[in-house]
Amino acid sequence: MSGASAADVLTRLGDKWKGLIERAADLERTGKAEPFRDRPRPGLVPDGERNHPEAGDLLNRLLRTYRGATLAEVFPGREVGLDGSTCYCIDSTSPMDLHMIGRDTARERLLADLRLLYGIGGRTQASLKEQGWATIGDLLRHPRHNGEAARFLAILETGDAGRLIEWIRRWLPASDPLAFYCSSFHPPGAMVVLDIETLGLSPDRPVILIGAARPAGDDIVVRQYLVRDIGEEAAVVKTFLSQVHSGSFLVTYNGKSFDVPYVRGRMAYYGIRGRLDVPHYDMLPFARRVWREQVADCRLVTLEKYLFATAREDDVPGDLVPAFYKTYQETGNVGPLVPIVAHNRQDLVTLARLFARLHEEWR
Amino acid sequence: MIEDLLRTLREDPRFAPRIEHIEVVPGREAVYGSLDPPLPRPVEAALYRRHIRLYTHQCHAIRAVRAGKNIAVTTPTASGKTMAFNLPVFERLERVPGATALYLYPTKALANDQLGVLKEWERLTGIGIKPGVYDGDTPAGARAGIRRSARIVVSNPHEIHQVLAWHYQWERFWAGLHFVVVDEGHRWRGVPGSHMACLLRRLWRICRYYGSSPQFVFSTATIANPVELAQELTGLPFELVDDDGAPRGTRYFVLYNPYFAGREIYSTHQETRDLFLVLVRGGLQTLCFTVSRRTAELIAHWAREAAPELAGRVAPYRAGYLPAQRREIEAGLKQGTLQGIVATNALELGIDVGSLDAVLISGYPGTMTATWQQAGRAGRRNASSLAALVAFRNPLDQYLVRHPHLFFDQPGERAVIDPGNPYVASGHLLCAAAELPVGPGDETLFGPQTGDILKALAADRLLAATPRGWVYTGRTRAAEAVALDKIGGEVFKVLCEGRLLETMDRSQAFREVHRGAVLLHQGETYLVRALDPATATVEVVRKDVDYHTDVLKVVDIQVAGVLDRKTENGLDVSYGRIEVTESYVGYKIMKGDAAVGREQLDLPPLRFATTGFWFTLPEEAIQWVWENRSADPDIPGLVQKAGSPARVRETTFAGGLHAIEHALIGIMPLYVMCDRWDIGGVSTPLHPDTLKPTVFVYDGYEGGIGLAEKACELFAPLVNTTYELVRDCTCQEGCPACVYSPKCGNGNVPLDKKAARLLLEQMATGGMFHGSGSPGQGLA
Repeated sequence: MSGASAADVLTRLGDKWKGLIERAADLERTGKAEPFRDRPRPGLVPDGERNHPEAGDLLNRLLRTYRGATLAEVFPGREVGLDGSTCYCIDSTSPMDLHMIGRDTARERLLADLRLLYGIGGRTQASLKEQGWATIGDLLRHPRHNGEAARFLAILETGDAGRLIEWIRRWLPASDPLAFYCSSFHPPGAMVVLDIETLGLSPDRPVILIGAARPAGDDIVVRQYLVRDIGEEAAVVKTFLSQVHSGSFLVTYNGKSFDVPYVRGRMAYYGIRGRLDVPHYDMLPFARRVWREQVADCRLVTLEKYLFATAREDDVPGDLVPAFYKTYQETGNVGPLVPIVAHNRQDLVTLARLFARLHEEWR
Repeated sequence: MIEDLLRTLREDPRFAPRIEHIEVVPGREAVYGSLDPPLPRPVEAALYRRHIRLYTHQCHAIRAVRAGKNIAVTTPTASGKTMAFNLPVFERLERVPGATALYLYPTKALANDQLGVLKEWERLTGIGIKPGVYDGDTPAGARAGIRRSARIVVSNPHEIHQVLAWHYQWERFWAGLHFVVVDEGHRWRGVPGSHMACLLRRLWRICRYYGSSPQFVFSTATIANPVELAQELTGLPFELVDDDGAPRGTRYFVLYNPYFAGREIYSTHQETRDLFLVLVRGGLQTLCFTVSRRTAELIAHWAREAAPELAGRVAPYRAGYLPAQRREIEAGLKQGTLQGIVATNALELGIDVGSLDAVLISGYPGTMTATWQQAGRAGRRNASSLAALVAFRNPLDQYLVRHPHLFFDQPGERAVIDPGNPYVASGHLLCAAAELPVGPGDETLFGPQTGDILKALAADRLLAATPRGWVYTGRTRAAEAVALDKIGGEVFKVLCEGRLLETMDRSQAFREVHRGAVLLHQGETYLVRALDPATATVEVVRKDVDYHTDVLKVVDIQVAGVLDRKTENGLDVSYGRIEVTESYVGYKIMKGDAAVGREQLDLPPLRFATTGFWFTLPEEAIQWVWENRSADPDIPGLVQKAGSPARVRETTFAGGLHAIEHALIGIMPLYVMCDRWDIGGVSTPLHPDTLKPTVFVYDGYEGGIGLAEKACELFAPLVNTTYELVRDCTCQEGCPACVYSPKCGNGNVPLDKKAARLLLEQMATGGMFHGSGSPGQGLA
């Protein structure tokens, strides 16, 4: 034999890259506003398998149970299309009890916090209130602060939650309830709860599932757009975007750091235009503020157990989602997708409930 | 001043006999150019205030850039090369709001220097270019701001490699990109150049996506094929700018040979030190380049010892020094408070210290490109300057200084790259697919094999085929798994009482700061207490000692696995996995140049795994070479020196093998599209794995990169051409064109051209090492 053939070389190369990629470090979710540190943390190896030994059993069980089953049998849903490309949408409903804090109440609360104006910190607010300046409305008559007061009131009149949030963020942290009250300026039907499942921690890898939930009467309607094969990813992103209108608002958990930048990244990858810059209420900072002392950690699953007594069965941990999806790709067996879809659905339902709960908490 | 000094040298018996040759390059006046239309007013005004008039090559560069061309600038360092590209970039940025530029440097130090220059020009002209360095050292808080608003970004290929996948955070920058400036371009050859070529193609795709098509500026030292290299790196046409109009005083280049008498009178270091002192004492601001970091320290140390009056005015300069120290030394040179600096090629990397009166190059640096770049540091505008090359005892150095016409005729090496090398291209294809889907328009992007590589990667589920193209689906970031260079080791910290003295990589640490070693730092001696490989820290204490240490290294090469085997021309040839092991087994205690003691060391061996090919010769070959060689006229002399014919028989055979190894490696670039510095070789009359005389040739990159693999496929023609080269070369004992290697770890000994020629003839013709070889040609 004369020498390695070109095909042998390429096969060896494929194996080599596969090995290196498995061993490479991934990024760390920082949970902070700077989306994705673009410096990797050394030593952070995706060793999900090592951390969750019981996952192997779950996977085998699923493969056995769902052998031969079709996607449509397991996940009731329908084909949805946009511009000639289609993907699969899994539909479900769940009850939800949402009574948002009244618009007027929200308005009052905002007006009562003088720190929203430039130049007024905690001490100044205290002294102003002592002098009888109770609300920003009162400050319209104040020689020094009347300008800023007028500017703020003008924005408040428009009821534009986005601009209000922007204003509030200049002076107060993301976890401040005032930012949350702005959600009352939207009609409840405009809510879009968002949670995504992906093949990695940064948007140079595909999303595999985008879950969006919206209220309908006393229920919440969950639509999960599934990437059946990678070729459908662009369609999934586009179809999800068609659910977000100019009047919508987003509700997520850590979505400011992860979900929204990730979807934006995939939009840039495929050259998909769309709008995601609608008002966005990331529940994580609010939840921390209210329940940090009462729970071991602020993971959604932990809060879910504490607040709603929900226990998840056969749940797949986040870092195993890519491995389960890969198994589905390699075998064609839809079993591994079951816990991914269930996990995503439960996240969405819990998030909606959390949003409602916070309106109760801060009524 | 220089002329007086040269006269003194030529009359002094200590120095005169060592001067082999002095080449005189006459000086010349400046040749200015003109621009029509002129540069924008703020720029013209700034130039006027600085008393700067533009030379021909600078105007040529500006005109070509205005015309939308890509340019390759090859004028020497002190010619105002940087301004030649900064000016047209500034002009464009002033005229076109939103225009941006990317400057790529090989190191962070250079990037930071350029930032300083750009900020200064921004200040002088008032043109808002908002330059920023974006690399691993840029603080997290500054990154978003640079992405959002910087108009000139200075970075390096490693950072760009990581950043391309985040292109949407840089949309404004890519959409407005008018220029990509690649400085120190001559570095991008061989395998590193192949990586750069792939990286630039990925960058080009991103630009295309955002609608921009930037012009390229390729700034390089002297190489044989600057335009060809620029075109290979980018796939675009280039115009050459080499009409240097900068003024120069007369330049003297001295070829200095301490071994003119055929024997060693003083050691090379002493010779260098003495010549260095003559220059410095003669009032010349001198920069001395040495081949190793510790030599730089030693020479500076000895110079200060021999000339205490110069103590504060002579300093060593090493790459491992902390940035603050380096800045201090560079400032001292600029201000004139430092009269002499002894450095490694760290300064060769273009850090702006202006020009000096004299440059001393101790030992041939390995390439003519490096030689001219180092020598180019000497050169005053209106006064003479001097460069001198001190030859080592090495046959290569000796050959060069004894053949001045050949030496001065060489412009620089020819740079070769191979962006289509599947080992290189496949990694970059993964990264490209993670940045944007790889569509049908990209199928030839990385060479003709691109389509096959994509399919192979998809078979491993790293890519998915979709209607929009190939999409990356690996589980971790592609840019993390694909390394751009072979440096993978950690950085060792050298600490004195908790204070960080300097840093170095693992192999340098084992060589220079093992337990018991004497470390020279900034001219002071330190004793190494401990070296801990696990924490990568070295503990030293300050101590005055009168000795220094030299580590003893044993290099082993082992076959780790055979992937392929064949017989060609009657020889057994194999290809497979190789392991090169460096073991530091002990060290010598040296006083001056004499060894006064030895100690043992207990350090883990450094292993380097790669792929390579090797071939064996039958044992009869040893005797056969001797039979055909022993009657040669040079043998009796060798026998007398060595003491016995048996020893000569051994060394001529080993020298023949060694010469074949060098010649093979020298020829390989003809067949394999690589640089000879990408390859390593080892030859031995008896190897433990093969039990026969063996020659190994392997890839100098961890894991192998396909070079030896390809050479092995072409073994027969490779051997044939090597034979012809050695047979037809008119030199007697060997020369750089045939068997001398610029990177030989053994100093090009033993080498026996005659034995090589005999062996190669048998190898090329399938001879069986019987009977007599062909008579030599004119071997007298």
